[in-house]
Amino acid sequence: MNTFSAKKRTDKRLLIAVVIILIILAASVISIFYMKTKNSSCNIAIIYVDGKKYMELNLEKTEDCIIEIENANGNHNFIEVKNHDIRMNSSDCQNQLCVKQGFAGHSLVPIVCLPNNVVIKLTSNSINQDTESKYYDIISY
Amino acid sequence: MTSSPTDKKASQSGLTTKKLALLAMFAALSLGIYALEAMLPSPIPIPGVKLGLSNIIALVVLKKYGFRETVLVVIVRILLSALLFGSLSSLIYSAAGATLCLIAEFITDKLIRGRALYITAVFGALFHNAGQLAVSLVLTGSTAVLVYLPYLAIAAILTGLFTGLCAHFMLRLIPHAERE
Repeated sequence: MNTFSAKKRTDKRLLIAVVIILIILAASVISIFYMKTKNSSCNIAIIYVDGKKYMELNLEKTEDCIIEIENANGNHNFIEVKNHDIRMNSSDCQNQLCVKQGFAGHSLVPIVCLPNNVVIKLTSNSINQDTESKYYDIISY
Repeated sequence: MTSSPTDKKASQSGLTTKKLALLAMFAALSLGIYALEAMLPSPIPIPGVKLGLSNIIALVVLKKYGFRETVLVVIVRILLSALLFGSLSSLIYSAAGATLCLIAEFITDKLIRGRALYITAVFGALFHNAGQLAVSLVLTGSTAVLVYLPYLAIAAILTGLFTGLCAHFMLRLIPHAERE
């Protein structure tokens, strides 16, 4: 009797553990879909090196070029701008994940090179313009 | 899977020569698996996603010997792997991940009373990835890396289930080998 109740209590804990895992799974899937659908027009690229802002590019106005970046440890990354898109052209990091990611497409999914501490993040200036125009609307009316 | 009380008492008292040799063997095994895994190319372009096969050994040692012994094996594995294959940053990443992973596995194992090893492994993997993400958050200093959180969580659940089942079947085979 005693062992039976102990077993049942453990089952309840197992159930709670499984429910927690399922909640995490559901939250992850929902947030991934959220990130995929909320696609805005991003034309400003900000490059961060060693956690600090290194350069800001307006992709609409930038011509095709390759930007060389050297971080504090002396590692090199080459960022390429092509047809108003931006990508990591090459990197001397080991895993090459940033290069495999291809062109940056979304403001929420930046290109991150963790070994070399280089981040390319997209933002849209339309967001700022929207808030600005709203601000003026409030003032004028 | 469950050891008798006398077995447990014996395993908790001191570091016998036999145990030292076995723990060293487990550490070597885990290092070998880690090296093998590092050679495999990552199929998904998301940093930090891998099977975490060396966690199988950590789980087996945790169930067979206990928390302190697992800490020893994992410390040896991390230091040697950083020395042989990695750099300082990879040492920080794996140390943070492994610490959180071990603590989470220990607590989960206690909470569910050592029943379903794959659930313990899933929680361990989740906290391992959370630890690595926290380190990358500190190192890059930008919240941009948090975008990987849902991907890493899903990956952790899948790989945790896999490594947990591997450890489960490995534990079923080990007692026979040890009795010889």
